[in-house]
Amino acid sequence: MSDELLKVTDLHAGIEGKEILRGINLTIRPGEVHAIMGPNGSGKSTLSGVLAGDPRFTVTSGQAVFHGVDLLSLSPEDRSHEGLFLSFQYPVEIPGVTMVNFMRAAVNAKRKYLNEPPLSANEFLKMMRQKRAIVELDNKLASRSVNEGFSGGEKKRNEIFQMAVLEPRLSILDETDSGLDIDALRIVAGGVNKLRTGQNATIVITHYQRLLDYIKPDVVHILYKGRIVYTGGPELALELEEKGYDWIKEQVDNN
Amino acid sequence: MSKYAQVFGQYLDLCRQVEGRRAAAPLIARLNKAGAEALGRIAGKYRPDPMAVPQTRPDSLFAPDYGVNLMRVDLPVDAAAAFRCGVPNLNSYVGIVANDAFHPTHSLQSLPEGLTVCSLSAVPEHLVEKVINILIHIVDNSVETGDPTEALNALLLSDGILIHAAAGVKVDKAVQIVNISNPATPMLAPRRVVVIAEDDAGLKVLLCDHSQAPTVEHLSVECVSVDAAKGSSIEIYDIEEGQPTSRRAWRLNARQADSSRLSVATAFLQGGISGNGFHVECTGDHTQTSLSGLAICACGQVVDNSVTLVHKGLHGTSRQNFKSALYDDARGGFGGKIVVAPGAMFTDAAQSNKNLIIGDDARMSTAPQLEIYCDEVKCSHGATTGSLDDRAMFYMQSRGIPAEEARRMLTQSFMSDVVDSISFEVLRQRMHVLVEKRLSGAAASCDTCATACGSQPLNTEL
Repeated sequence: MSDELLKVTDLHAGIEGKEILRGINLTIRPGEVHAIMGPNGSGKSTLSGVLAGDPRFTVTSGQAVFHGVDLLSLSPEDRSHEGLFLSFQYPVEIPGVTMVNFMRAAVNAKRKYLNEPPLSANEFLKMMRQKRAIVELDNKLASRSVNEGFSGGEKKRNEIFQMAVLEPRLSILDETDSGLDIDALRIVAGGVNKLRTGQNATIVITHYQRLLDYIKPDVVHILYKGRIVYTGGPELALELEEKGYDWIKEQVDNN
Repeated sequence: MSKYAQVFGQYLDLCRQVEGRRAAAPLIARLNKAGAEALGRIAGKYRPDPMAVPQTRPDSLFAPDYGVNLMRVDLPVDAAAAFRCGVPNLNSYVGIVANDAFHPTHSLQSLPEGLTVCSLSAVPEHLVEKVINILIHIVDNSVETGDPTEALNALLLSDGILIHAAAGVKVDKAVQIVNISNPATPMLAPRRVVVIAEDDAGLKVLLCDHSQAPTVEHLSVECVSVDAAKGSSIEIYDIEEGQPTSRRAWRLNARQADSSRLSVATAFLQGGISGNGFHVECTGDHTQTSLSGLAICACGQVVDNSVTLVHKGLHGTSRQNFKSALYDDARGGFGGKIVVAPGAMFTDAAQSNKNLIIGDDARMSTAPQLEIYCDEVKCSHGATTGSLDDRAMFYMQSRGIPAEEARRMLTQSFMSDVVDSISFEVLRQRMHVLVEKRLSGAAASCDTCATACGSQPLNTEL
C-alpha cells in the first residue's frame, strides 16, 4: 500500500545464533509516531539495530519494506540514503574525525546517492548553522572529534542534530532519553518535534513514559520476548507507568 | 664460513678487488677502512634479530647480488630534470642524491652564515676530524650491537652529505635532501647524511626517498648520523615514497649532549621492503627526544622499525609513538627498547606502538621492551594491534558514509597524532595531504598495484 512507510513482516533475527526477534510485525505510515516499550532484554535495541543494518545481528527470516524498497537487502549507508535514521542509545566516540568532516562526508555521500552535486563549503556551513539551532548545539562542538568528550546530553543533542541535517523519512530514537536530565530531555524532544512533518515518521524506543510526555505517540507497542505482544494508543504508556510490565508478562507467559 | 658471513663477505671481497683504485676523499677513505674492519668483525658473529621481520633483516636485504658503483662510473641520471618533490613550496635548501651521488642545487650556493651543507668529499678542514670521529664512533659501536648495516655503509660509501650548524646558529629553513633511485640494473646505493648541531644551534632536515625504478630491484643503505651538542635542537623528517622494487636499510644513530632536543619522524607511504633502525644515546642531562613513525602498507609491503633509546644522563625525557596501518598481506614489525643506564636518575620515558590490521592477511609483530638499571625513573610502554573499531564503522555507515570512506577516515584519524606531532607547520599540512592521498589509494586492489596503488605520481617530469 502506498501509504505505508515501513512494513515489517514476521521478522526473525538474532545474535551469535541466539534468536532475539521472534516474528515482528509492524506497519508505520507517514506522519505517525510509534512508541516501542518493553522490559529489559525484550529486543527493542535489536529491532532498531536490525532495521539500521547493524552487522552484529543476523536476520533469519522475514521482511522489511521501506517505501517500496527491500530494506534488509541494503547496506547500512544505503538505508541511510533511503531515509532511515537511527539515533544511537550509546553514540560512538570517533577520536580524530571532526564533527564537521563527519557531517560533510555524510551529507555529500547522500547527495551523491541521489545524483545531486556536493554542497559548496558555504552552503554546507550555512546548513550546519541552521540545524544546530534546532537542538541548541554549541558551535564549538563542530570542530571537536565526533562525540569525543561530549557530555551525555551533548551526545544525544548531537544525534538529533545529525537527524536534522540528514532529514530522514523514518527516525528510530533508541532510548534517546537515557542519561538525560530534564532540561536536556526537553531540548532533545523539542528538536524531534520541530522536525516532524506529515511525510516523515518516528519510532521512539523507551523504557519510560517520561519521554512520551514530550514526544506524543500515536501508537504504543509493547515488545516482549522478541514479539510485539500488545498495541494500543497513548494511554497504554500511562498504564505501563502505573502498573509496570508484570501484567503483560503474565498474560503472555500464561498463553 | 657461515651463510651470514658469506652474505656480508661478498661486499668485503668486492672492495678488496678494487683496493687502492677507489678514488675517495681522505675522510671517506678512512671511513671505508673503518667499515671494512668493523664488518670483518661483525660478519663472523652475526646472528639475525629474532624480533625483526625476516625480510627486513640485514642478512635478507644484503643477500642479493647487487651492483655497487665503487669505481664511480658516471651514471646517466639527470637528477634535477627527473624530479618534482611531493613537498613543494617548502622554501628549503635542497640537495639531491641520485642513487649514491650528491648533486647540490643552486639553493645551496647561498647558505646563511654558520650553516654548511656539502659533500662528505668536501668537508671544510676544521670539521674533518669532528666528522670522522663521530662516524668512527658510530661504526665501532655497531660492532657491539652486531648490526652490520653501519659498517656496510661505511665500507661501500663513496659520497655523502654533511649538514652542520655552527654554535648558536638557528636555521629556520629546512635542509631537504631528496634521494632518488633510478638504476638501470639491480643496484645497492650507500647514502649517508651527517647532521651536526653545535652548542645552541638549531636545524631542520627533511629526507625524501623516491624511486623511479618500478621494475629494477634496488637497495638503498642509508645512514643518518646525528650529533646534537649542548642546548641544540635538531628535527629530522624522513618520508619514504618508493616503488615495490625498493629495498631500504635505514639507520639513524644519534648522540645527544646536555639539554639538547632531538625530534625524528618517519613516514612510509610507498615502497617495497623497509628496515629502519634508530639508535639514540642521550649522554647529557636534561635531554629531550621524540621519535615517531607512521607506516601505511599494502600489497606485500613490509616495514620494520626497531628502536634502541639509551638514557645515560639525568632528567632525560623521551617519547616514542609508532603507528602502522596494514592492508592486504602487508607485514609490519616494531621492536622498541628503552634502556635506562645506571645513574640515569629522573628519566621520563614513554613508548607507544599502535597498529591497525585492515587486510585479512596482514600481520604485525611488536616487541616493546624496557631495561631499567636505575631507581627514580618513570617509564612506560604500550602496544596494541587490532582492527578498525566496528562500532565506529557502523556508526559512520549508519549516517550514510560508505564503508570504504569510513575506513579511510578512521585510518586517517588513527594516524593523525603522529602527523600532528610534526612541529614544522608547512610539512605537517603537507603530510596530512600525503597521508590522505595514500589512504585514498590504499584500498585499490592488488591487481593494479604497480600503477594505481596509492599516491599520485609525485616523481613526474618537470
